[in-house]
Amino acid sequence: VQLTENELEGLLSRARLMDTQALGQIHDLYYPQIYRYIYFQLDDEQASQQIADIALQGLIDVFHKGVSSKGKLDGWLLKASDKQVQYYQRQSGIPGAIESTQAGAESLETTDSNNPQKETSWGRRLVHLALRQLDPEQQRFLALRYAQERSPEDIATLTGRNLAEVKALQFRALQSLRRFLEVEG
Amino acid sequence: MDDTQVRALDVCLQRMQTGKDLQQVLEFYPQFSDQLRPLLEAAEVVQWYGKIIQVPEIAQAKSRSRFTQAELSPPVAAPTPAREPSGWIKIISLALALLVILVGTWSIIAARGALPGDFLYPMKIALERTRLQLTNDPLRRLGMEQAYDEERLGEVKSLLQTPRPESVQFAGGLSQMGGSNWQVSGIRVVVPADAQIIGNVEEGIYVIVEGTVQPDGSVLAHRLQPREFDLSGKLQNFLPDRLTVAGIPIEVSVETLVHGSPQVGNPVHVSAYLLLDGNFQARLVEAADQIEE
Repeated sequence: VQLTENELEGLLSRARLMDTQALGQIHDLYYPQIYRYIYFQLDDEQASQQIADIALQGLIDVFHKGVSSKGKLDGWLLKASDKQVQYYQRQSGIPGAIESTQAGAESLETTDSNNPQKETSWGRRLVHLALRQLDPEQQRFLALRYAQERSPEDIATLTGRNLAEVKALQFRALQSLRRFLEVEG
Repeated sequence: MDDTQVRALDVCLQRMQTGKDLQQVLEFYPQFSDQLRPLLEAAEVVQWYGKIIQVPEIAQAKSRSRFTQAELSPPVAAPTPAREPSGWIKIISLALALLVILVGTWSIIAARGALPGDFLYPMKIALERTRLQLTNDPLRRLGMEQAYDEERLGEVKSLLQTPRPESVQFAGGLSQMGGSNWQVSGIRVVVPADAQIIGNVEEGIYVIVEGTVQPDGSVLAHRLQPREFDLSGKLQNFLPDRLTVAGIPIEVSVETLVHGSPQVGNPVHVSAYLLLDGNFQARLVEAADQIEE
């Protein structure tokens, strides 16, 4: 669902008054993108559901305090999600970035072209293992770029960095990912 | 990494998002092709990974319900790593897991039979590309490429029976090219005057056809080019009429271009056409030292 800045401002005003219809629309808008962002990093359905839920529930307090723009709302949700992801990773002993040998120790099954189910699962697992070896900043960038389908310009605005830095990060992230994909493959 | 390459990568990624394929976008930056190709391939893989994430509708609905009645609901506990469940939780989890497996299996089976225009078709293509990108053995890779070509051909033949006006891209043997009606692996391909023909397209070789399925059961071509296979490996022999690379015999003709000085025992790269009789014919043979330049 794509809303204009004005439409979203209207929704936020109504949400501040706890208008359930407006709250529902905001949830419809944000849940899928927050869930995808988290799942991209964790590859864990249950944890992703819970974290997306917590991040969105936190918005209620933000509405009470007043939130002035879509940019601030997006930024708040991103930070809230990152915080919960980091907390989960600490609790479960998953560092943001892991060594190649550790990832390999999780015994990636070999592909089997006669078994498409195993093949898709293998491809997905392989990409996840490679992603986990990137540093957290690169992981978050790729999650914004490919799970939320944001442009580098959008990511620069959202994260408060300049565009040249973001494009350099994009280059480094894909370079590292390629290297780790080859290692895992 | 320099700024020019960083900018070039970004432009290539933007162009890929508009539907251009990897080869097309690399043509804008031939000087960086070797540096950018692996990164763009990684981008294709991670893009596929991002697209296969399915948002769970039931969990979303439950979260929505809590969200819209937030002031009435108790706060949600932060997630913790999985603990050993007990009793009825195990039964429900098992049932949900079974459901997920069934839905997942259905998706994968459906993707396997997906045709151009189907929702799951991009997943099918992305998965094939992932497997190709991660296969280094030249013989195995060649077998996979040919199997995927056969798959594309089968998809187009299925579409022609419908026929759905979908955009298609497939490779097949060009057995007849008289007038505007060509025959490519048994498929009638209509080639209008304004169709783009790239490279040396001629009868007797495999070609790539990009076009649209027509209601009369033909494919209207927009673009045609020879189907080339990239074969790299150790040069095992190099005779006037044939050579062997990584165990793959390849015919050599007077039109074959040779770059550098390929030596038996050294690595080479060969770009080859596939002929209707199943043999390969070298278009270009490059010595490894030439490739590095």
